[in-house]
Amino acid sequence: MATTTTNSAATYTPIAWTLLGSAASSITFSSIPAGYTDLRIVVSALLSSGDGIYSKFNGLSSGYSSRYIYGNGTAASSSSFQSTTQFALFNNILTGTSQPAIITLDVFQYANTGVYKTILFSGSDDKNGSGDIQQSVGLLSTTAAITSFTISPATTTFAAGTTAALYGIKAA
Amino acid sequence: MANTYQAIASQVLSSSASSITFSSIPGTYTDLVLKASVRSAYASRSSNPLIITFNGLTTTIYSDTDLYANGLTASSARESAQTSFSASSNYAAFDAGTSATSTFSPVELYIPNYTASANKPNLITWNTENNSSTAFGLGMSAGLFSSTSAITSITLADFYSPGFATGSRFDLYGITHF
Repeated sequence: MATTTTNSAATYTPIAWTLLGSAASSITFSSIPAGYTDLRIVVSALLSSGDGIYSKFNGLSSGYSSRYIYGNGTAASSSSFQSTTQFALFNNILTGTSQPAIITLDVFQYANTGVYKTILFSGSDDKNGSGDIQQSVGLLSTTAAITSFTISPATTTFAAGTTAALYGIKAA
Repeated sequence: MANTYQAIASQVLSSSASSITFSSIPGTYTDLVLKASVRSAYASRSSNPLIITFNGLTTTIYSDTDLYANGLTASSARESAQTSFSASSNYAAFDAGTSATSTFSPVELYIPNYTASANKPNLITWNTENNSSTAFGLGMSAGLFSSTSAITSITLADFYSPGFATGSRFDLYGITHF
C-alpha cells in the first residue's frame, strides 16, 4: 500500500541550455547572473573519439586543484592535482555517438566574493562492456564571483547531439 | 524564468512491497531524478541489491560500470547485457534487516534526456552507512539502458523477499531546461 502525493518545488531554475548541431571544441556559458546561491551544470557528452574532459571558470588559467576517486570496471584508484591550469573533470570518455556520458558539476556559493569556490563533479560513462565512473571535489582559489564556465575535451571535439544545461539553485 | 524541479509523484510504503512502479511518466521534462529513502524487510542480510528496470523491459539491454567502497577498500566492477540493473549486484545497494534499526539508505538516480531517441545513460548514487565498521558502504554507478524508446515507467525491486520495508519512500521529479 502506498501513499501518493504531488507537489511543486520552487528554487531550481534553468539559466541556459545548449544542443550542439555540429561538432564543437568547447561549450561556454557566459554572463552567468549572480542571483542564485549555487549552480548546477549537467552535460550529456558525445565524442567521436575517446578523450579526457576539462573545464575552466571565468577564463582563469591558474588556481585549480582537485581530488578524485575513479573506477574503470575492474579497479578503483584515487589521485589529486594541485595548482593546475584547469579542472580535469573526467579521465576518459569513450568513443560513442549514440551513448552519451553524463557529467555533472555543483558549484557552491558561486557568487560569494568572500570565499574560494568549492565544486563537486562527477563523470559517468557506460558502453555495455566498457565504461568509466569518477567522483571529484575541486577547489578554485579565487574569491571572484563565477560569471562564465567552459567545458572541453582535451584534444578532440564534442559531437553533434551533445547537450549542456545550466541551472541556478536558490536557498531562500 | 520558470522553476523547473517539479515533483511528479511520490510513494511511501505503509506495508512491505516487493517492488514499486512509477508509470505513465509524462514526456514533458528534460531529465528525471528519482530520490529514495529505502530499507529491505529481508531479515538475514545487511544490504540488498536494488533492481531497476525501465518500461517493464527485462531483455538484456542493461549495463553498468560501478565504483564502491566499504570504508577499507575501493573497488570497481561491471555488468554487461543484463536483464535489469543489479541483476548480478554492484549497481546499487540499500540497507536490509541486520542494518541498524530505523536506518534507511539514501539513493538518487539521475536520468538525463529520458525521452531522447538514443540509448539512455543514468547515474546512481547510494550508501548504507549506519555506524558500523563492517559490511556497509557507498557507491555510484554509470548505467546504460540500451533502448531508443522514451522512458515512461520505472520499476524498483528488492532482490530478496519480502521486499521493501514499511516507511520506504520514493520520490520522482522532472527537470526542464526551459
